[in-house]
Amino acid sequence: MRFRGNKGEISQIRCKTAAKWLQFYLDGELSDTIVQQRVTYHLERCKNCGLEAETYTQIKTAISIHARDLDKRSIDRLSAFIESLD
Amino acid sequence: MLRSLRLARTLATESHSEGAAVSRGDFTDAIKPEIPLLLHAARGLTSASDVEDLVQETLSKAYRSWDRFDGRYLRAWLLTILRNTAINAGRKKRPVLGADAETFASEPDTSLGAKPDEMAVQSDFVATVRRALLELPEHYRSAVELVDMDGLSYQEAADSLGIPVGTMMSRLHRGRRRIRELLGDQGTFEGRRQ
Repeated sequence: MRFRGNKGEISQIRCKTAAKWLQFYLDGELSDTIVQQRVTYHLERCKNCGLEAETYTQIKTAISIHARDLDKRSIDRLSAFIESLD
Repeated sequence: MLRSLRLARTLATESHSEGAAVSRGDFTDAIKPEIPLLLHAARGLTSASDVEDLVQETLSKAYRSWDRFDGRYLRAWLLTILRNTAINAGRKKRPVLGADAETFASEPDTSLGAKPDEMAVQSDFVATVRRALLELPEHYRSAVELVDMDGLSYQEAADSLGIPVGTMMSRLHRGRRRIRELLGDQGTFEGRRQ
């Protein structure tokens, strides 16, 4: 995909550029809203990059699941410890 | 655990017996939700058997310092205390896997919001991703875990590891790419995408 940049239209970016920003985008770490829009626009129209985004999203989700079942007993003990501080 | 529980409680109590005006409720409400984060971050700083003690000491120090906390960047503040506590105690990082490997190898929680007929596939996928994560070098793995498991921002993760944010980003992105490559080598995504 190529840059066009017509007035009133979201400029398109190349796959290489989208790949460069992809992980920042998925992590919500792109502060520049113009760049965000361009990445979104690209991912919606480029099948390969869209699949790449889906892949990383699935990986992030799979990893995050582990955080929810981390050692609940330790959490309970430490919560009780906080309550005991007085 | 019990030894340090008593010690931490004693230290915390001694500190506040001098009349420091600390809001107990505020401390409890603010800190409790961060326990999972502290536990996880501690796994990268000490041996598996010492993780809970390290977090407990951190909580105790945080309690004693609560009246000096400026109310901003709670996670960064806690992670700094955690890291300093680990350093001061001369704790050593775990060799490689230890207890984490057992945890990762256990049956995954498939709470992805999946329909029942999709759960078996998701369960396999989650387990495969966990195994790939375990194969990462420690410095990549820590970065991935802090952001993807604990939900830290790049800056928070960098603070917790005591490294520049650029270095953290590089490790995170390379770590994820490595996982993606490992999964690709195993044909994981081809099967999911049909």
